[in-house]
Amino acid sequence: MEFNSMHEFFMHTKTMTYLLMGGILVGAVLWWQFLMGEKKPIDNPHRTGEGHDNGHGH
Amino acid sequence: MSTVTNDDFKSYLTPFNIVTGLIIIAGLIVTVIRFSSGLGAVTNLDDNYPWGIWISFDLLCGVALAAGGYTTAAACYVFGFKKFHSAVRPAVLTAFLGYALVVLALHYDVGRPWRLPYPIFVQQGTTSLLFEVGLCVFLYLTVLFMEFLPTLFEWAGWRKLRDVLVKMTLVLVIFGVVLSTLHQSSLGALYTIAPSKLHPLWYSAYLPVFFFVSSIAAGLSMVIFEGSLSHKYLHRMMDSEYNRNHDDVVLGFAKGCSWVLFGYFALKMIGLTYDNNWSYLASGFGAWFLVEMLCFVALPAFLYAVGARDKNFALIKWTAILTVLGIVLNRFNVSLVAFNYHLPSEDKYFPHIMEIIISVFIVTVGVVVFRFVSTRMPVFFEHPNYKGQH
Repeated sequence: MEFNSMHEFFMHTKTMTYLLMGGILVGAVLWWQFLMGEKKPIDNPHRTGEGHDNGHGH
Repeated sequence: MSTVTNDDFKSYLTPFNIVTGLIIIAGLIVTVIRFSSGLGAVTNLDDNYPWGIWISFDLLCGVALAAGGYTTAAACYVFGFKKFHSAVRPAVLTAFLGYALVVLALHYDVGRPWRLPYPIFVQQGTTSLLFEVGLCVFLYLTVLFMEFLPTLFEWAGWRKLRDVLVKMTLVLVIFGVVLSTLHQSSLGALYTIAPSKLHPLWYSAYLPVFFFVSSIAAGLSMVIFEGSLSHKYLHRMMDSEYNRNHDDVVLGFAKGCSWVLFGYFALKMIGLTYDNNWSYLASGFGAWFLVEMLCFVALPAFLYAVGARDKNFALIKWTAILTVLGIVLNRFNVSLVAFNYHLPSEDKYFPHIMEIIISVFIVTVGVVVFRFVSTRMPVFFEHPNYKGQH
């Protein structure tokens, strides 16, 4: 694309940037939904068993 | 009187000690050459590239990867995510060592290292970005040292001094976050003064923002990466609280890092669009830019999200390594690969073997000191005399 003035250049790039930012906002909502769609609880033996100070003792 | 037996000697001959010992000996030899014969004897630096791998790797990457200190402390003390508390001390220790080694590396890189304190104490160049970087690193290193001191005082049994410093924790954390924000972005801003030298795909007026945002991802990933390594090799030093919270820390940081990388990718695209640089993507540099953006930003953002969703800790740990490599690649691209992009390939800089030896030597010193401190001081566990007082 050809630009004849700085004004023309910025009109074009700022328009594109605003469109992109709109897309990013929609993408961010979808990303949030994907990220927070947890599937299973954490399987951590330290949560259920008795804790040992300074490691597991093995 | 104790005597050293053959068995004692053999117990020190572990593969880790042998490898680190050899690296440290090689590093010390190169150190002697550097300080006796000058920069020219050990580096490939020239007028086109006055900054080489010691700045690209030791400083730019070192500072970014040490960002775990301020991200973890901010998450715990400023944003109130107390589940990250157990990760604060290892992260602060890593950050302190990281910054201390940055300063050590600068001694090699600066022509007259004894003048390193000169811009801060003697003649301040207040209009220079480099002055801001130097001042922030100096102040932040001091803050990190003060944040680390309670660990040292607990180990030494100096309760009163330790209690005074613990009361200052929040103030120190706020100082640390502000200083980090300043100098992480200033490192990017340093390259905004070279618009004709840096390839347009990497050059942007938003470079300070890119450096700052990517440093958060680097810090979070380093805490996951370093935590998993520590979990494997220093497990005996960890108490039940650290182990109980480890999974929450990894998952929380993976989620956070996925968001940060998503945001970073979006910001990079905005920068690309605002400068209308899309046409460069069809060139060789464009392909390299796409490799960086797709394989080391978009892919880890997705993998972190999948890992956090599925609670797949192995995937999260591998993604942390990928992200750390991505940040290193980005800093190398900005400061070396895409810098002076117009030069013919024979004039391009490639580090001298002795420069690489010094960089490896400095990282090794960091690993050895980290191991030494964390196996002796209450880093991964609460000191028995200070239970519940943190």
